[in-house]
Amino acid sequence: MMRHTTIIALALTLSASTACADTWAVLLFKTTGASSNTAEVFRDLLQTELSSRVQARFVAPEAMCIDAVCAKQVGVDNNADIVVFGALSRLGRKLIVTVSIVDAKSGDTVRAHKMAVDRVEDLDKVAVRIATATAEGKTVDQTSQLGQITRRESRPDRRREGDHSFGMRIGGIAPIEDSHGEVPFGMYLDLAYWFEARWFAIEPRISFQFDTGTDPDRAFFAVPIDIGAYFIGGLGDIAPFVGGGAGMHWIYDRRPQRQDVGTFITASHDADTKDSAAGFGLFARGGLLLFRTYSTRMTVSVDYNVTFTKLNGQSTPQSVSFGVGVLF
Amino acid sequence: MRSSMLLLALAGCLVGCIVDSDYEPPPQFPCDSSADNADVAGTWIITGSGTRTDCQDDERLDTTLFTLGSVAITVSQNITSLKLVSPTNSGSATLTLTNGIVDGTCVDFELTELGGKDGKIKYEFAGAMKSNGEIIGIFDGDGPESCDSDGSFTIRIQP
Repeated sequence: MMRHTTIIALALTLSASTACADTWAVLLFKTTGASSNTAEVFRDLLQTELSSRVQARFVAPEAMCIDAVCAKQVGVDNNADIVVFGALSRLGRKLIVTVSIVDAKSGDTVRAHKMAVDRVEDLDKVAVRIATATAEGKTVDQTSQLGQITRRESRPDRRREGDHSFGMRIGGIAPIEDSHGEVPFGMYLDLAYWFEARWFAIEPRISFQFDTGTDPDRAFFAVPIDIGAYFIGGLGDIAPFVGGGAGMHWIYDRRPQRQDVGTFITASHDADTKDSAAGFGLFARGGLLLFRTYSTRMTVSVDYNVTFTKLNGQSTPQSVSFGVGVLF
Repeated sequence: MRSSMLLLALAGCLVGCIVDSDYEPPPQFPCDSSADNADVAGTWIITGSGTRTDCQDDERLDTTLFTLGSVAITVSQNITSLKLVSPTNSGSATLTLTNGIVDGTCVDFELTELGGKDGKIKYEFAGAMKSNGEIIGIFDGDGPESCDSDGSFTIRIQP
């Protein structure tokens, strides 16, 4: 048993150099939904490719097996050391090729391969790939190289689809504490791309946030660029969603700031201080996705925004915003 | 004739238009050096206003109007000379009074702060003792850093 395994291993891995020529028998391939002519051609191709890679004597008995017991018996009957058998099966548009290599003395299956193609013209490539995998002790996936890729392999894997929309959101923004020039209220406009799946959505956005000019001494302008992800908690026309995101935020801030100079003699004034900075930002959002079953939807949402930077001596400006959006 | 009027109007505009400041210089308060020396000793509270320019290190300090104030400063007088009694320091900051001279109703002195959060700041005061017991005048300042300032001041004296 050990001896046969060693011989097979040597035959498989050092095929070209071995002087001991084993006998390989390549049987007829069983067909299910494929033509016997195709199976006959594939057997010839496989034997040819194997013979160019394995230093062995090949025989082609007019026998067909579907298991290792049968293959062992055929091997014994034909004085073969190794028996190759398999099947060509059509499953819808796919043509599935299975190949097993059996040690005729022990009856053990020493290697098995499976490939699927979507046209018979690719069977020559399958023969090359399986022969290479057999001779080099690899899987058929490891034998892929230019010129040997089947049409089926060249296709990208199928993926789940989602809904792609553009979004626009408008609303009000309220800076928290001393953020954003200490302006009490502002507005924002979001432009976004919205990818929506059954339970989640992903949204890159650019936002333009600005004061509404209520105080001539104070102003802010912010441009956050974020990527957000949201869990959508419903499939109906009114679905809650919650999530958040991160990105880069740029903020301009203008405010009067008291300047005191001196310790004993003090000179004081309110300076018109302007500052701008960019920093990493985070936001959290919760809201409702309305008319979800329609291609055009609406959102109402509340955001909390924070930017990790320092402006006019104030660190981590924060804001809360409320908005209404449309996805189309 | 018409061109002369135009030139006059232009000159008037230059005077009025170039000076763009919230601070209005005070009328001059001429002092009388021939009068008896004023008694200015006591505790001073300085107030006033001014402008500050050329603050290259921190432009936020440039302003067309700042208000001047002070802590209570106790000053002694020896006929014509002035001396600072207190305070002389606060934390790492020190205050010195130099060139303090009383000549009739004319009162001139310099106050210099050092070592505080704003570094060196020096003010030169030139004023006149008024009949109501206040010293009124103008000041000129250097600092912090490259800043220059000027303005007017009033000192209320508590004996």
